[in-house]
Amino acid sequence: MIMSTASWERTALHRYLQETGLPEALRDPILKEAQESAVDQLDPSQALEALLLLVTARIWEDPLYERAAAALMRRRILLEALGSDRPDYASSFPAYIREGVRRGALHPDLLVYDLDRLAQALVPERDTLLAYIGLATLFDRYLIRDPETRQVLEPPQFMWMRVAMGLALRESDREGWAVRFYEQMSTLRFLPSTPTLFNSGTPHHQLASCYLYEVLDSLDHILDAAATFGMLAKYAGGIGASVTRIRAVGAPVRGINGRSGGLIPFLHLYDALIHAINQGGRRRGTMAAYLEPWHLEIESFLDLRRNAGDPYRRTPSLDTALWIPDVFMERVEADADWYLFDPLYTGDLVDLYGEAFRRRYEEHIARAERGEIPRRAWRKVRARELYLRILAALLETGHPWITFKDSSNLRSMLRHAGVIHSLNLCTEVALPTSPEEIAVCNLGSVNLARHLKDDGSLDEAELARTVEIAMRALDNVIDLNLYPSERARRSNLMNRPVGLGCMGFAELLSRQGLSFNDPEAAEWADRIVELLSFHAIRASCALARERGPFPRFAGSEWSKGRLPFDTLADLERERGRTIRVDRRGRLGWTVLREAVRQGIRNGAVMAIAPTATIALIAGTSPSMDPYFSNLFVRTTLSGRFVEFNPSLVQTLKALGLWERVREQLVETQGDVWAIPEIPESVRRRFPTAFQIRPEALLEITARAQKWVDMGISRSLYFTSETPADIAEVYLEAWRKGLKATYYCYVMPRMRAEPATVRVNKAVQRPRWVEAVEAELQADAACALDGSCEACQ
Amino acid sequence: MRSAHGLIGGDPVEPLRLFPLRYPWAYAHVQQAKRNTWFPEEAPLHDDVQDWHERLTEEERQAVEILLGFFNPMESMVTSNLVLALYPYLTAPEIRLYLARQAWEEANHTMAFEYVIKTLPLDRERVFAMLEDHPAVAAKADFQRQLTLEIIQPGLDLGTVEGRQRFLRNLTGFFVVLEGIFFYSGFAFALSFRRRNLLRGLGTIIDWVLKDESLHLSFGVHLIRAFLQEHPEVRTPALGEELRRMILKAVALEEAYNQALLPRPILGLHAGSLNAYVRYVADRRLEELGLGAHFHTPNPFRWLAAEIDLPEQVNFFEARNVNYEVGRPRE
Repeated sequence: MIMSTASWERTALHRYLQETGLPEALRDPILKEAQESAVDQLDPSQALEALLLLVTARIWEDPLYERAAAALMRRRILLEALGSDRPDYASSFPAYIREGVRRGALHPDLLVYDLDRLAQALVPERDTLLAYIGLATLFDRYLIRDPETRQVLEPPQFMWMRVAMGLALRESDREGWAVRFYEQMSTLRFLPSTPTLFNSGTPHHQLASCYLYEVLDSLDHILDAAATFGMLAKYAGGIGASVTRIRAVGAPVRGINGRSGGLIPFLHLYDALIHAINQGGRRRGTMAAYLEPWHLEIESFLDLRRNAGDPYRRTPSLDTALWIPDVFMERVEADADWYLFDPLYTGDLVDLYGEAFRRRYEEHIARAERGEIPRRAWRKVRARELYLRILAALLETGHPWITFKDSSNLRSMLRHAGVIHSLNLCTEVALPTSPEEIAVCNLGSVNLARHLKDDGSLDEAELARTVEIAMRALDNVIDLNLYPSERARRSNLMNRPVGLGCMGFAELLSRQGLSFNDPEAAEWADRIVELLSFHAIRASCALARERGPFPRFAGSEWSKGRLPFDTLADLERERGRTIRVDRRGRLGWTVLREAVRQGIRNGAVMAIAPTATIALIAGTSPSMDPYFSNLFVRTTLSGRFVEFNPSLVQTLKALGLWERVREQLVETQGDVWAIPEIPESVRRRFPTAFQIRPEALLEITARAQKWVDMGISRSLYFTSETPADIAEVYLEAWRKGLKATYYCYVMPRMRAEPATVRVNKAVQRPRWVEAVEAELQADAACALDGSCEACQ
Repeated sequence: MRSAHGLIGGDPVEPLRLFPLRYPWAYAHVQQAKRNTWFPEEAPLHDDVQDWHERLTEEERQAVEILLGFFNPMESMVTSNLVLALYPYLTAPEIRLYLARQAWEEANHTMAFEYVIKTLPLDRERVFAMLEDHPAVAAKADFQRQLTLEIIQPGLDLGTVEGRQRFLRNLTGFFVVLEGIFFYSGFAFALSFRRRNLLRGLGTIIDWVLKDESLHLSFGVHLIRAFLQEHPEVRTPALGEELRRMILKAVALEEAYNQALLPRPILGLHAGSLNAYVRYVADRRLEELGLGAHFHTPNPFRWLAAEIDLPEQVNFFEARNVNYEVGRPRE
């Protein structure tokens, strides 16, 4: 079955492998395995896939394999889309558009463009900017396919242009703007969010990422919401829904002489719904349910994601978040009581925040204590006890996310337009909702790592230009979007919010030789987000001059000449305490303030999203998040991908250490602090996410948040074991004025036996055995008489 | 007062009195096991069903059926061995505590594979009959059955060196061969699908089973070491040779099974590479027993680094994060 080496060398696969540019020493093991597994006997498309499997298997051994895998993947895409691995982009592009329209995959409006002119603007070499993980992701889910045969119809450069065309449809200089949008995307400087990449230029152009929804307390409305959620999820919109109004279990139900089953069964219904809609296999239906922690059923809410218990009282597909008012955190600090209510009697709290909430909450307490609220409908707990229960659930299940109602509302520029009742799915979008309005936001992110000059310094002029073009593209989306709901359309056209964010912050820091633990990291965050904010606001003002301000401009904070960082004072005033965050700015805000007073196009401007997938496409680190580890696997819908901190590999290669330590990197799971051979000066620069002090992450986020009018998805990483260990971190997040935290990653104590590195269990003692032995020793030393601190 | 016995030889019906601990490592294994608690229904199989219909070839489906036909009953054989062969003799309280916990885990694994078998649209009759009908599966089952029978047949006397050697053979056969070799090759086979982004729900179950089995294996290695310390006289060259032969025999059984599993290569995997992996794993077990490597085969599955070894960051809205541990202190 195995063919001779000589005849193998005549195969196309051999040529493919050679053309990847992989050095011979790295190529040989692949060739050997390819022969052993008789790859050449598979049909051509399978053979290329098999070869890719052999190459990707070794990415952890050397990033050069990653480059080779990218080259093979490029070839695979070209072969499938254009039938040739050396295509002529310029001549095939117009045919692709016409054929795509004919097959119903592209929107007929794209035919109005001067296709030859756009074809001339394509730069085929930019395909090589894409990393393997990016190409694999595009191939699996983003590239347009024939609706029936599922054949890929577009290579990446066509995709960028297709998206750009979709975004420039209503420009008077259509081609000019399409080319400018294409330039930004194809160079990976700016990427719109996934729904835009999926759907722009297609017949179903739902381009927005986020929908925010307020569920009311009636069966009619609860079921109506379900139908809307289904439609939103179908077209790749993520949902954030406030569910605090839903009455608690045991509440009377008028008209049927019965009692309500409460909140939980309805959340289970939404869970099943979301699970049913998987967005055509390209993305899962997603929804986060937000609850305020005074709801009588808060404890059941905390259990929703647990892995045991009645499955009808669990929501494995639904994300949960808490929408926490300041009063709760204050009462945690003060170790005071906390009152839980059935919203049937205290529903007005949902529409209050700040000082007004505090007053009303205290009135409700007094009413309850006076017996004016039925005994069934309220309960008293210790705030601190509930807080620890929340954190225990977070450590065990990753949920609920902790978000802050008061800072989100008090720092909103759209306070006049209504109350913000929840954030979105990813906790970065803060917009008002009402029974008449579903808030919408479309997002896009600047790739910071693509704005560095050769000497590593930031190219501020380029960044300003990128932001300006990005803001125009985002503003266009509002008018082009296909709204799955009339209430969403109305709201979006009134407020015209957009969420400009960023990605590649970790890569940027790494390239400066900095780690998140360094104080300079916060300085960088401050400086960069100030730039983004400044130019985004300026661009939106320019758009207002060209196209008019958003319809609800009058009465907004903007119209008073206020800027996002001004609202810090509002938060401080209502909280009655100082937010400790550096207030310095470097840019010409005074001039901009005047421009803002004249009019701004977008009611909301910035939100820093997690960019979990588009950062992969852009080939950089997501959002303002650190590298998870220096060597790790990222699991997405498209599979599992090995990722490195590229700066570390570069540094180790330069020091001649790479070959010696790469196996150890697997053994330590990417933790260089555990590899003594690596010099201390290098180790210090490359902590894993778990080795970054949470306080450092909070400081970085607070400095960025000061400039951002909406929010920032802030994931946190813990090795800690107990709720008490992390209690202070979330208190500090609140004190620093963060609007939200997001994912809580916890390092598992135990891992499975490694497969590729040798571990002799007879010799090495697992970390968790040592941990338990240490606990046992500590117990043995305890006198059990309450004399030491642990018992206090 | 706690009895002064070692691992064996205590009163088999005496209630457990744990403290003070004599084998803190065993207690540590119990503690960690609690945290690893999972339930099969947590792994959604919706996508797997779709893969089964749309993406797996007929050959691949058959191979997966064999895998499930092997894992499902074999997990229950471990349970039987724990309860019938080990628990009556191993009387140290913290050891028994772990055995009881492990028995639950094995039962959970049996249920997990049943959950998969009953969800995927496969030929259930055929899968459940695999143990009798499929010669390569039956041979492996027979190998394990004999080991259990050796202990529960009348006449075993742990008071004799020969009896203790037989006991050690059982420990090795189950903790090292079944859990450490047979299962590992099955894991690699199953994960080769996830590597191609197929059968991810099954992959998640395998992740959890693998974590459990790593713990069982670790416990086994600790237990065997402690047993040898307490009974150094059983450690004869003849026994070493016997254990070595047993492992080599198991490798031969596994290789025959792999041939039956993959008569022809599937994408990314063939019987030859699976066998090389078995030899690599067997060497690792031999070394852990202090018997020295036999095959000196390098690991052919470099891709397992991404499936098993490296820390995993989950894009939460694209896949379910299954890396959380439960049962921490609540404060």
